[in-house]
Amino acid sequence: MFETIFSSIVRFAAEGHTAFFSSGMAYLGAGIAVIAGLGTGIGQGYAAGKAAEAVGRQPDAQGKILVTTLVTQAVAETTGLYALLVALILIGK
Amino acid sequence: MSDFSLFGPMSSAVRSTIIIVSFLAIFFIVIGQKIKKLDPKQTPKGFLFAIIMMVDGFNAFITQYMEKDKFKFFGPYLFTIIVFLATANTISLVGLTPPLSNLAVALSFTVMTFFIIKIAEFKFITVKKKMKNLFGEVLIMSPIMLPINLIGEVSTPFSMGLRLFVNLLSGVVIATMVYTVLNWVLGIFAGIMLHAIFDLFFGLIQAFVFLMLSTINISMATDA
Repeated sequence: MFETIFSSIVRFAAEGHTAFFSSGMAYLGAGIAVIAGLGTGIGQGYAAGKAAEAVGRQPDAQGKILVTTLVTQAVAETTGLYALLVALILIGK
Repeated sequence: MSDFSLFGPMSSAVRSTIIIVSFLAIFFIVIGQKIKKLDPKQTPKGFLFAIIMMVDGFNAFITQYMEKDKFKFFGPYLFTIIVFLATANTISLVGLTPPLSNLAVALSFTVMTFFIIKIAEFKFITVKKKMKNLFGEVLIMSPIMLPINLIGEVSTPFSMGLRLFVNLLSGVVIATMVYTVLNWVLGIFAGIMLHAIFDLFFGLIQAFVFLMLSTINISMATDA
């Protein structure tokens, strides 16, 4: 389903251009898409730093802090994963 | 793994799903039959003891995040999810394709999460309360809040399924790229690192995260 939608979009966008040009633009778009990893990295690093701070302040609660950190980091990871998915779709063109 | 394609008919993932499901079904049916015959006055030993300890630890862990009556209803579902995901995400250690690297298998998890949240709402909160959640607290703001809340109903399970899919897919893509470049001698050494990181570490973390997010979503849907 995604493949047909994206192929129609790319075909519409690249009308009048060669296939070489459109595939090159798709690779360029894939590279631009994974810039979103910047924000993901900052967010995950911030969460991990805060978790380390919390463990230092309260070493008894390490188990609960670990569980909470894993879940929040997985949630923060989602945007980066979407960017990766977009990049993979563009490369698959 | 060499016949990898992003959206083509990828029967290898579905095949490994069927293998895992049948293996786990036979395993747990045999274990259940053995536990039924167990004498309650004696201490169980060996393998059965490990299984009982595992289930006990799981129960103790989940009841921290859920009330008792909800846990009684959703506990078996959550345990099935964690066991299947933990097996499925590490299955490429024995040479099968990880099932969650197929979009269809991952989106079936989306459908399951959607329906389990709906069942939780129907069972534990009233229609009036659900309407209040959908329309928001202030009635004048409801034309703005209703579309946002309706999108939120769908996007939560969708993001959960897609998160599993892309995590496993990235591991498969990177492993395929490395194995294509290297010959088999170097591939063995690279494979140790790759599978330790992408299958054992990320796979088990994703299984655990899916369990935790399911638990929290069920609790939130029934509390609020």
